[in-house]
Amino acid sequence: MVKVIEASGVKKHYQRGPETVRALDGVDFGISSGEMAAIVGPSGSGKTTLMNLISCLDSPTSGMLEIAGQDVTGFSESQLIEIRRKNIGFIFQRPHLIPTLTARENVELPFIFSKQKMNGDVISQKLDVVGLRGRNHIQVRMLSGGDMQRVAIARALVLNPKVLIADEPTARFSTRVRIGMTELFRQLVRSGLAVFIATHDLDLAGSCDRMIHLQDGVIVPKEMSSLYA
Amino acid sequence: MKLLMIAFKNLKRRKLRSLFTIGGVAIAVAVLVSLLGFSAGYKKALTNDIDKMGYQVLVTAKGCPYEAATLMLKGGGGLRYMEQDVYNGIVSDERIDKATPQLIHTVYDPDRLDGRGGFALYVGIMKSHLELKPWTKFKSGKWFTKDDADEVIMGFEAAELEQRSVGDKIFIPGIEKILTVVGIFERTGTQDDGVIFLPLKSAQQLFDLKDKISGIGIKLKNIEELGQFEEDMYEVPGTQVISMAQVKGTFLNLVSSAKVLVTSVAIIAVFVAAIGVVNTILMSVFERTQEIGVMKAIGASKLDIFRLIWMETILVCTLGGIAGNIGALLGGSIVERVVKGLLPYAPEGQIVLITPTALLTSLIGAIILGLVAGIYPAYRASSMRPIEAIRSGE
Ligand SMILES: Nc1ncnc2c1ncn2[C@@H]1O[C@H](COP(=O)(O)OP(=O)(O)O)[C@@H](O)[C@H]1O
Ligand SMILES: [Mg+2]
Repeated sequence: MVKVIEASGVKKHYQRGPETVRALDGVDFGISSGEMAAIVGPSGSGKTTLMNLISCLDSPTSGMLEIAGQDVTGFSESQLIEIRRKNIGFIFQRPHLIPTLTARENVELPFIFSKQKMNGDVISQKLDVVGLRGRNHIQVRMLSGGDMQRVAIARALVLNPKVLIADEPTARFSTRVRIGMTELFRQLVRSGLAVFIATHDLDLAGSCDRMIHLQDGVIVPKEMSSLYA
Repeated sequence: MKLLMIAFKNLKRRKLRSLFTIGGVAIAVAVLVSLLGFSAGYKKALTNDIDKMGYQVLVTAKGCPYEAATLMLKGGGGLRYMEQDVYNGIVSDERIDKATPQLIHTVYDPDRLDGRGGFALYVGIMKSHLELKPWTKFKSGKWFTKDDADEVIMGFEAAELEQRSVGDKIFIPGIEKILTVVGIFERTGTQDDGVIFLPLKSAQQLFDLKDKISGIGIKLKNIEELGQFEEDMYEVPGTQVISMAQVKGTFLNLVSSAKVLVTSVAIIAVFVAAIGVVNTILMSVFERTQEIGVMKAIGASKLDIFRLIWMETILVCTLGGIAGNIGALLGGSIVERVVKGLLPYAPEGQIVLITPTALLTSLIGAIILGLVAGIYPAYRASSMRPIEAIRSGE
């Protein structure tokens, strides 16, 4: 198993007026390919902050972060974009698709931005994987919420990232959709992808190989997590 | 699929708003096309009108300017003479389109006006006379057979007064010569109607005014050069210049006020359109804050976002430009009518001349408008930070 993400002593402090918000206050963790990890914790515990850091959308205040063996601390914005394009697929609470485009066109976007030669087969294959075979050319605004999120997953996968990072991907969906999506994540992990999910969804978290409890910006043992208090 | 396609599809998202913005640009462009067309057409039509007026400058022998002016307005000239060399000297001037010399002479005829007596006006002319007074038409007969023929052409009233028709003979009192009437002009409504015309050379011989002329009628190639030309003419000794000040003043006023009108309206139209475009695109950028954040999160660079928004702006302006061109072509006749109603002096003929140059200039102008108007919204979009953009709606 190859380490995809390795973080040690990662801190992220925000300045809010005179007050320093220690959103993350020294976090160590790692995730390898073929592994599915969940990060759980109450609202405001720092989950989103951590997701943003490891997906290189933000830089830590201090600490070390390695993506696919590369130390990215101190990387410039354009270097971070490259790292992101090569290694990271990201999905959000909401699908955030471009509503004027079809499912397929949305999945094409990362290709366009990365200036890679468009590979139609890869796009079809990813749409098949997420279960949208035959609905490639549908305008995404005609899709159900769950299917939109599947398009978003296909979009996150299309450049063959090493890790899929998902910030509360099921929070807005029905139980049926959640179960389907949990299955999809497991399937992706079986194919060798690392999947890292921030979630409140205990079923989803429970199906992960590992659960990390976050509280007030630090990782705590399961027993101390207020989630079970 | 390319960035351009995404940009285009974005415009379709808010169809009505996009249409209004495109419409705004289209109106500005149509105004621009019409104004450019007006600028070209108006000057051409005015020039045409002025062409029809014949000569614009009269160079005469020095004398009382008022007397000379009066005589000129009546179609005559001063009774002072200058050397024909002056004519030979100035006809080669580059700025002159046409020039014609004339020799005016009056003869007292005791039989005139039913025996009460009066002056008959004789004018020696060259064939260029007809070009400088283009309204002069033959009622009957034709031009003199020779440069020094003993022939006359009579003005309409002169012929009626003397009861002459083509082929008849005429006798000038005090000059022992019999002349043949070879032509009669139609009525022109000017002093020329009472004149008896002779070939210039014949007039110089008959009246014993060898190598003398009274004046030169001059028409310039470009009326805008009139001022400078006039000044230069003052340098020629023994002459004075009388220009159709009215013509000159009016023309220059009309053209320059048209230019001011055109420029100010065009600036306003373009400015309003630009504000509309910037406003629309900015609005759509802010509405799509999250979307832009997500695009960055999935690998779009600042430059990608800048180009996308810039393209949208250019697209709006280009579509507006095309629509404006079509509108100007279709609505040209309406504009023509409106403009004619607004002008203090509307020349004959088409005054809004929609040229390919005007169309192309305006289209390029619209694209440049897009290039410029797009910079700020594109910059704003490209500098959005992805996490904040995405968070803004969660
Ligand atoms: N940009 C920011 N500026 C200031 N404080 C922030 C910012 N982003 C997050 N925080 C704070 O950091 C803490 C962690 O937030 P977040 O990572 O969103 O938690 P979670 O995703 O677990 O709910 C919260 O107290 C939040 O208010
Ligand atoms: Mg969160």
